[in-house]
Amino acid sequence: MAAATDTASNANAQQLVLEREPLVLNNRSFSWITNRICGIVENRQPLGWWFLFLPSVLLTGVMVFCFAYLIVTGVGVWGQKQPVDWAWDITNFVFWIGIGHAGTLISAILFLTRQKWRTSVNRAAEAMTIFAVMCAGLFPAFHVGRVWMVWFLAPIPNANAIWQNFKSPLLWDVFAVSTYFTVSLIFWFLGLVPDLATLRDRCKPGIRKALYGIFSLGWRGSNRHWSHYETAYMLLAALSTPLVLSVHSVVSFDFATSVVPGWHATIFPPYFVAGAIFGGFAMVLTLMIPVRKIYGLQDLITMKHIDNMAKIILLTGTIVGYAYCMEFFMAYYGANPFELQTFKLRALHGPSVWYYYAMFFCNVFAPQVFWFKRFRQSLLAVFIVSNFVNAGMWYERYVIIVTTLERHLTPGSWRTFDATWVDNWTFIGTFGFFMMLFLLFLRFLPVIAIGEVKGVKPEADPHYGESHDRGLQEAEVMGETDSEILASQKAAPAH
Amino acid sequence: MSNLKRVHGYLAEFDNAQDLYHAAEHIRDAGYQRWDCHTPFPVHGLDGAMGVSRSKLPWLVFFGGMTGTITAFVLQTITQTNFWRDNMGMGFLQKLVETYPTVVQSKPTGIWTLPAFFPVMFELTILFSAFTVLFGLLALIGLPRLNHPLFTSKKFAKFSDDGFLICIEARDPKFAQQGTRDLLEKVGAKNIELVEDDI
Amino acid sequence: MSHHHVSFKDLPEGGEKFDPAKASKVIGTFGALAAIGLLGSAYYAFGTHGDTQKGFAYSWLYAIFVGFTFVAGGTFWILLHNASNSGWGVAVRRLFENLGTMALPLGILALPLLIPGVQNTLWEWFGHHRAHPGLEGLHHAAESDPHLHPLVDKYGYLNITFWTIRFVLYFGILWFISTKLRSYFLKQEADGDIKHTVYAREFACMVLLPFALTVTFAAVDWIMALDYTWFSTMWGVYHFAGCAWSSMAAMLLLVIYLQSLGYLQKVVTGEHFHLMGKLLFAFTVFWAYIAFSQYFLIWYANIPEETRFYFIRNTGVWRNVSIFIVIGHFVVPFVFLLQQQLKKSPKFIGFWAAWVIFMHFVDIYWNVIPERAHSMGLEPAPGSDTPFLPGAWVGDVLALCAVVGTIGYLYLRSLGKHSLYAWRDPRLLESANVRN
Repeated sequence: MAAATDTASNANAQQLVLEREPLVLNNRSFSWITNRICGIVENRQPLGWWFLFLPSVLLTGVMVFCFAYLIVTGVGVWGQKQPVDWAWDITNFVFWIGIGHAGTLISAILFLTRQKWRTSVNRAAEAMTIFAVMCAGLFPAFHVGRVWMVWFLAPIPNANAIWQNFKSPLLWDVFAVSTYFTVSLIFWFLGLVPDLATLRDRCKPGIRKALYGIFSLGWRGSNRHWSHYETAYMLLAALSTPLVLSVHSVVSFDFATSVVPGWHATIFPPYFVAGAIFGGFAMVLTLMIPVRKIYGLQDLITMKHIDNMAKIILLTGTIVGYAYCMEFFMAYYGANPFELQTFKLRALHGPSVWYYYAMFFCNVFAPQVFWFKRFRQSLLAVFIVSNFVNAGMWYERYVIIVTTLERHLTPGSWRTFDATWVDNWTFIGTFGFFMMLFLLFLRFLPVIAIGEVKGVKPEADPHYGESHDRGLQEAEVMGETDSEILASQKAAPAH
Repeated sequence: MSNLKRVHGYLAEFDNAQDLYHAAEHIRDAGYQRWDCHTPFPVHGLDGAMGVSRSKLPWLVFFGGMTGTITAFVLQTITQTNFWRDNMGMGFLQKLVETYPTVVQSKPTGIWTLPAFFPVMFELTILFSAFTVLFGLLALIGLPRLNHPLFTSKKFAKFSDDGFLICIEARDPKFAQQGTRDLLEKVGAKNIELVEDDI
Repeated sequence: MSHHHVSFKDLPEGGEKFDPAKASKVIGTFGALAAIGLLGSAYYAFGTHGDTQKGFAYSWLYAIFVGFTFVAGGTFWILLHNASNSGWGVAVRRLFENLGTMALPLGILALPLLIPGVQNTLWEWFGHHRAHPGLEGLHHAAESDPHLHPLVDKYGYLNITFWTIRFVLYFGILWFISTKLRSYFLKQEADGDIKHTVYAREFACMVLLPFALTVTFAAVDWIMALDYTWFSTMWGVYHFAGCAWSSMAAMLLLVIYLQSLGYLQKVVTGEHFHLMGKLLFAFTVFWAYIAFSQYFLIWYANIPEETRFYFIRNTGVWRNVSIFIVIGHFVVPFVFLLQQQLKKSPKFIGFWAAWVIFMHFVDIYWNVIPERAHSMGLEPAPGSDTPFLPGAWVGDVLALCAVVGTIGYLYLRSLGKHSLYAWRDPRLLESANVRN
């Protein structure tokens, strides 16, 4: 142990303290944090922003064109044919909804468990949630063909005197997704209010100041307000946590309540949720690694943050792997020949085994490199693995949905699915739409929760530096931080 | 616009959260009621130092959420079951919405199809609760309010950056032009300013 | 703020040693329970015959599985604590470590489950395997009895040799994990080196998956296989939720009791009760989510081979127990544990912890026992619609007393061997001063 300094605090025994790593590096001041984050909004955007924005707008146009083409032609422009009646539309829907879940996880579950490192990434992750849910919503909305009829999904009395079937998983989806979108929006907006006030106070009078002023609701940072505000924030976190579990559970019910082999598995709800968090974290990393670099946020989004997220990807990836194996085991153990046949077709001799292996590799094997700190600390490695996971989670949905339907219970109607150009370009177009929204968010709103990051600095504690604390620091803070321990461990000979 | 001005109160600045915290304890003990701290982030424990009681918002949200549960239960059972007619003797409710139960997967139309209604009951509970959080919060803190006397102070904008401010309002019964200023000075305030508002 | 900041000067060197003599009343009670339970069990196992004796096999399985959930739960919490690099739990972690090490005595108590007669009674597939040895034999038998077809398909997993290996592994893995994790901190108490904390974390991460598989397959082998045709992919997660829930409640009660004896006064505060109470609440909800999802998907899809499990438990007398579980296992604790401030009160949280343990007993009972009368081919008594083995509940209670009494007795005695908390853990002060 290289740098361990022992301190006698008791009479004989030596006692060390393992320090937590600081969440804001280089001891940046409160106003440095304000300036750096507000600067992103106030200054001209770097070239990289335009470099990404223009193609995104172009792709959004492609998406709009594809949807317009679908409306004027009919849903037949997609590749669905009997027996594959659900294909890319629902695959993409589940994929995008899943992406959103990490945002809620970071903002709600990590808040409830007092994981303070969340503050640097929660704002962007919440924005990502909202944009991802918007992308997701497009698919079910447009797959009805006559998109202006979508309001039939809402329980509003209509001229036909027919009510929605409230026992149908598809209707639960409507409730779950719209609730999820609304609550995420409220959560995001509430978190933004104090930061919008910061932007308002820095603006010159004009249209921008007026807009930031209106949306910050006249926030005055009053402690009597903070008191209610913190309660409200905690309540929303407590509501969002079961909500996020319910949303992907309800999505999984679309499949699991059926009697289709390969779909009907009781583990589907938590398995979908774990997968969603897994895929969502990958998307957060995919977005935040470039943002951190382009805007110079290394002191706020530190390697510790990246490291934590990589570990969560490893954990949830392993949970997903557990679920894959449990499905397989139960297909064997349940001794239902149809179930077993479905899994054999998926993994051994079906028409789409390639997808199954891609899924398994991307989701279960690729994240295993995060067992090693070297890979968690390499931005390039984290970025590459995250993208493997992004792809892998799409394959997972494709495997569950399409490969099952391709080999339905009636062999006479078996047919392999082929995506059309409209399928391809609509999906690619939603990425453009998603990126466009995210880039506009970077341009106009604070990408990091300014107030919250300030709140996790040690000097935000009203008892910081008080006498007993100071005594403690002098006597016992001679310990080491985590990374120092790990570094010295690497250096030390084998133990 | 007239030249008359109304005194809003004293606005005092502190160096950091620690000084603000101790000043708040003193002001609380001096018996002031209408005063407030303005900080860039919520300072832990400041509620206690100011003597602010816990928010009642959770209770509002509890009842908001219950409303959502009941709404979903009633909506679904009226339109999808014979519960209100057979068990509650209120068949007119089902007439009211002109409907008949949808029979799905040969499941009965009695109240024991309840599990199929849980997802929507759950979602509406959350939805109604979340709306109650938002609107309950705005009602409790009296926002949006786009104009406020404090915004006339140039110094006040620091609260959203790195300023730790205390404002004692003139409306407070203990407020005195000299006495209050002395108290603020005693507890270590910097840059004490008398905030005045146009009438 | 009256919050006093705890520093090393406030804590005794060498930690706090528990003196079993101080707790003689409770230890004595556990001992008495164990004695009564073991004697009664011995009577049922050897002194009775026929259905009563057979029925007692279920009682013993029930009691062993209850014990297993607590031990597995204790192991889970120390794994989570170490793997997540958490700090607040240092003050109470040793109690969970000791709970995990009870896997060894529990494994010894579970040995009767290896007796062929017991196995044939509990798990029909054992009987079929013994009557028709080998895959060939089963295959042959299945030609005349189609009910045996699933056993042919499952032969690779459900066979006596593999089952016995797994049986030993389940207890061995839990015992190994908890002893190993505790040993890191015992070493640390000797030399004060921080590296043990880091090693413990690395070890915990590596054994997370083996732990998950242990709980899953133990639940599959012992409970799900009571009916060899039934299956549910959620099964492992369901029982994992019960493990985490019940063990947290048990440890809450223990901490309250230790504090009442004058231990842990400095390192454990109301904040710890609050945090542990929150975890108890979280798992109340998580269990409900898992239990509902499993029930719901089977109920909704309505496939005959799956519905049998719920069909037995959702008709006749067991229906009342099912409804009681919905209310007592979820609704009531959910509503009360929702109260944020009350969770800091030892009396309040202690009451609900005791309730949780009771409901966990009921839940496992509901999982294991309904199968008994059906497997033994009993008919409902006149005027009843549910088959029951008359008077068997006495055996169930005695078996529970025997296992819980023995484990509780040994556990409390073992607490005195080491300090009650890891007194040289580098995060001890973080835990003692935790605020949330």
